[in-house]
Amino acid sequence: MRRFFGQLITYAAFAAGIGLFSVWPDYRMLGDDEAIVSITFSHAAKRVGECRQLTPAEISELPPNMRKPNSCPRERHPMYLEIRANGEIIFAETLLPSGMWSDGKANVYNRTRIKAGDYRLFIGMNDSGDQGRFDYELSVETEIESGQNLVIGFDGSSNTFLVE
Amino acid sequence: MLFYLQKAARAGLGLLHRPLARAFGPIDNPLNHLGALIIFFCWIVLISGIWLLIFFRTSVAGAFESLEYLTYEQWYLGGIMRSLHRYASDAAIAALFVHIVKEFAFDTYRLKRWFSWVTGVPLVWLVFALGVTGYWLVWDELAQYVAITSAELLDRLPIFTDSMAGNFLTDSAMSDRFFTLMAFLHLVGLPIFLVFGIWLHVFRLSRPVINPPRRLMAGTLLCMLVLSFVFPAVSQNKANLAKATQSVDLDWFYLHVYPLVQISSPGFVWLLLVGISCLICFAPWLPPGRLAEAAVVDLANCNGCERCVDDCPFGAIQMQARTDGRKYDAEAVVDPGLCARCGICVGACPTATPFRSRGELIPGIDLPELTAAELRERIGTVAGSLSGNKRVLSFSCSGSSTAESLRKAGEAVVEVKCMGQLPPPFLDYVLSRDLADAVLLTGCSDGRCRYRFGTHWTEDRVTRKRDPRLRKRIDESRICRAWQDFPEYQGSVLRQLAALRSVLPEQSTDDEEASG
Repeated sequence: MRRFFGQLITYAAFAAGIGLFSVWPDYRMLGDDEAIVSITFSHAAKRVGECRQLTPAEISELPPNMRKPNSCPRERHPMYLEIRANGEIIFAETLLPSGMWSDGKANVYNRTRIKAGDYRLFIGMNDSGDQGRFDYELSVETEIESGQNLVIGFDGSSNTFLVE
Repeated sequence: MLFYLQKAARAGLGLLHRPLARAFGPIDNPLNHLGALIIFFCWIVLISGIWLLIFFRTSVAGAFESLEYLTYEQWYLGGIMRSLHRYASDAAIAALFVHIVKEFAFDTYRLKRWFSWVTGVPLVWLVFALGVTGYWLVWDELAQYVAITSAELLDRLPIFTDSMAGNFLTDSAMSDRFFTLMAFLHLVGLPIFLVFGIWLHVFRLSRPVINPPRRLMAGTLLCMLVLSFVFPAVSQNKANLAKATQSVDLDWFYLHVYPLVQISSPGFVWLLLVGISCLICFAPWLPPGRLAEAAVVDLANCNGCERCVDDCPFGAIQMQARTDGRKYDAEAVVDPGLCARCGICVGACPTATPFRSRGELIPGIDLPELTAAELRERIGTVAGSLSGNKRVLSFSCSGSSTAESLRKAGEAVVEVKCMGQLPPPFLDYVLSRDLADAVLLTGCSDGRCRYRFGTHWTEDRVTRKRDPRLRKRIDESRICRAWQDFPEYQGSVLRQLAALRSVLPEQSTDDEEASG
């Protein structure tokens, strides 16, 4: 009988432990008055140089199967992205192009916590290497609700920012 | 450092072990069946998972709804199956954790056990991957959190060109095909690797224990069934990618690492997980490790009886056609790569008898680290120090620290590599040659033996259930077996020793005077 109760207690403790820690304690990653601003997109920045017409002598030096009239540099500029909320920078990062030859798209993914409220959002991006100016920018008035996931993207076909 | 960690782990397990041993007894003690229990839990997960699969819809819209149907409409079967699925998965993780701690605490991951230890590491990763993909499929708020955090972790690896986590930020980015992929991974891909991994995990063990005792299976299943009725597993709110998850009821068995991704960074979490995994993988070769010479076969004395093959816990001995032209059919061959240097084969060898009067004592198979001849000599030396009334000669295995405790108590102890190394004729030798009045055999309990079957085979040999059997002329009451569940608890050995002495007859005073 003693053994029976011992087993009963053990099984009860086992069940309680399994049941409890499968859901408790809850994990809170955001405060009640907080929201998330997510930035996610890929963008191919401008190439570091213009294409150049090759001279006939330069073309003739190339292997026959690789002869072409232009020489275009593959590398792309780093991309600078800045996001301000009511004038305060909440994200600013220089993103390098992907690929072994730095000729691919630059990827950005970030999630930033922000207090819920009314904001004037400014999004600026530079992909041409010219310092001190943005090639693309957007200013938008928005109300960010508690628990909202505000997503900022970039449409490469129209070169405009998307806020949803 | 490692020594103190192991000692602390043993102390922790000891706290768990004592009440469990009292409640379940030595045979059903769950701590002695952890590996088999994990496999049993996997069976429950598999069977309940098949039921869930029948009703599960692999689409963004259908996944959550189909599980809601199972949980509420079909609660009596689908809901219970879902709860069993979750709780058995959690129980597997809990048992897995204790299993790893136990193997580490008792140093059973070194030598030839390294293979099971190292192959266990990818198994742990697989089990966690199964759990994570399972939570993903529910597509509730927890799934949303799991999906985004898992994708952030994966994005840290140089695998994907585009951000994977970006796919879980808007509903429009999600597709049904993604659920098909996850369902395939969870239901087919990962389980196949898991089954293969379990096979590999026990591949180099002979007689691997796959099933726990039936009473234990029934008990744990009943326990989880009751839990499923009382506290059924339910989904959290349906995933909504337009909203950020503010809090989730986390399954800490599987997802304990996830908060760390937010607190630190995905790169740090990878570094931590890969670092711990590498450390665990290399642990068998960390100091203090040593490898003695493997068991050797002496063909002049090997009669090809195959007992060593039967008893070797690691399948390190095989029989092959005779190479010396003697009349026997076969001869034993030791694979040094698999030999654990435990000496259990010597204990099984019928030619390992100390009574030989002619020639050297060389059995058919012997352990160079402590040969049968050296063992006989050691017995003679230690027994020579015994005097007075009620002389008890103790044998202890090197895996437990009982020898040290007995020595401290002033007892005569002969230490062997594993108790299975001690051939029963040696007990006969001690008692019939009057080297001692009684013998105490002590070491790790069955299920705790570093070499798996040392205690088990010794028990069977002494109780005359297994060859080589103890000779019938030996009075069993003069042989006390005191197997220790935890080497730290030495009090019981000394108590059993005192009990043994109390039943021994008093010797005549003449003898005492003569010895005095």
